[in-house]
Amino acid sequence: MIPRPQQALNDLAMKLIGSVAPQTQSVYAASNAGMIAMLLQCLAQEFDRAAAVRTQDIDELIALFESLRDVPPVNLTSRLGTFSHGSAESLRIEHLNVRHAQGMALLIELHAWAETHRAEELDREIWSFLTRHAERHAFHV
Amino acid sequence: MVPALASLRISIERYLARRWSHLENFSIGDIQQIPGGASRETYRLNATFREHGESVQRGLIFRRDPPSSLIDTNRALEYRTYEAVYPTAVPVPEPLILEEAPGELERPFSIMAEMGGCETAIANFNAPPYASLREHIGVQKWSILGSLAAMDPHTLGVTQFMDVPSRANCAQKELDYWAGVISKDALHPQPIAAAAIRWLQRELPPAAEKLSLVHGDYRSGNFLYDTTGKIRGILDWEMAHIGDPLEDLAWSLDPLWGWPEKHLAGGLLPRHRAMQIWQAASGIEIDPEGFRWWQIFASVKALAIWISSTEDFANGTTKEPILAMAGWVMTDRQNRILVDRLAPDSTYQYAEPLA
Repeated sequence: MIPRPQQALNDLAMKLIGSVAPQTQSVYAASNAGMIAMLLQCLAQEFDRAAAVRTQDIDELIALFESLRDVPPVNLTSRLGTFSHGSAESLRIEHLNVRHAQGMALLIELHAWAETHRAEELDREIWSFLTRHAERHAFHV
Repeated sequence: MVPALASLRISIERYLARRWSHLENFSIGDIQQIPGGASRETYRLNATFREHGESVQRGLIFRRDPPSSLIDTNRALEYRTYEAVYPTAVPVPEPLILEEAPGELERPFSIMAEMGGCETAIANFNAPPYASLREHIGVQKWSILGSLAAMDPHTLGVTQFMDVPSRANCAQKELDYWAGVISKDALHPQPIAAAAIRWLQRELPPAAEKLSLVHGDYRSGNFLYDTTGKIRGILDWEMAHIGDPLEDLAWSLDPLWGWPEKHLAGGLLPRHRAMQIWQAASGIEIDPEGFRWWQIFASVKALAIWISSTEDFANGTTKEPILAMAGWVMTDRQNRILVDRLAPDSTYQYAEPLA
């Protein structure tokens, strides 16, 4: 087992960009090697943080749903409650993704409701969450 | 040479020798696949032949439909747009052949004249010799776009094969299409895209001042420039349509094309300078309200393309790295740009406030 997969993926990316790409004669192949190296660097970042960023998003969504002062319709409120009391099947990314998608779909509904009902404070809180969410999922390449 | 490439070379040579039977001793000496054409497989060919007793060498660009593509486009529309624009002051490569019969070379293709000695890479703008040519390239870039906006689509002839929206509904038409792409292709809920689309629906712009031929992907990376910094050809017209010329201007100024330098549009000029040049060349005064809308739309349309690429990479048959790149790196950056522009408490880290 390689105990630091993030570093291993970065090292492979460097090997590809530093040793393989310069020796390819085809412009197309060299360009693809460069892109694959960059994608490996993205994968390295994602490998390290995937569970953490999804869990952080989910935790913040639950906090947001539970702190609502503006009251959306019963139908939506009950689904927000169900989500807040649920959990992912396991810590596998596949399962975290399912729960993350459920939370994001509810957020979209809640955001649309906040806009049409002029719930400005909630709208602001949602944008604040989206800003943190976008930063958390950013790739630094 | 890779066997598949050698075989393609022979097939193209046979096809062109038959198609251009008036040329003597026609042969393809070399074939190279080149990057850049995200929605088509692109190859550079060196043709030699004798014409009027003279020996001639000619570079050709062969673009073939891939099994799956970054953008679902209409190749005939793109080719006919090249034909329409070629005689004008907007520089484009000469279109030579459109072959839509898939039997000829497995999939439909087009052939254009190569513009030799040119570059497209944006990265060049950061280093000599091109860094000092930024201003020169930028002035041409937005002058050309302005002159395209000034042209009458009827006179150009593009109304013969393109839908003509009304000035009042061209924005809604584009929004409906690209919102539909996101809805169809998103593999995961997209709360930023959804919020931006709702904003666009609420804030629809006033009717376009005029209708123009819109390039649809006018940005750094989609034009050829030579070593003197002269722009020689505008490429990739596959998303061309008739619409509000502000759409192209807004797209050209999206912060993604100059990333991470938010102050230089397309890595070339300050945004306000690019807008001034465009206004002077087009004769159109930029309506701030409409332009604000088109700038958000530009980021949503781009996001739709990246989301669609993600889906294509995940479920399609072509595992081109550029599809994965668009789906990950570009989606992430475009999301950050949209949040920057729409969040009430934005610190404008990635994008300047809307003009």
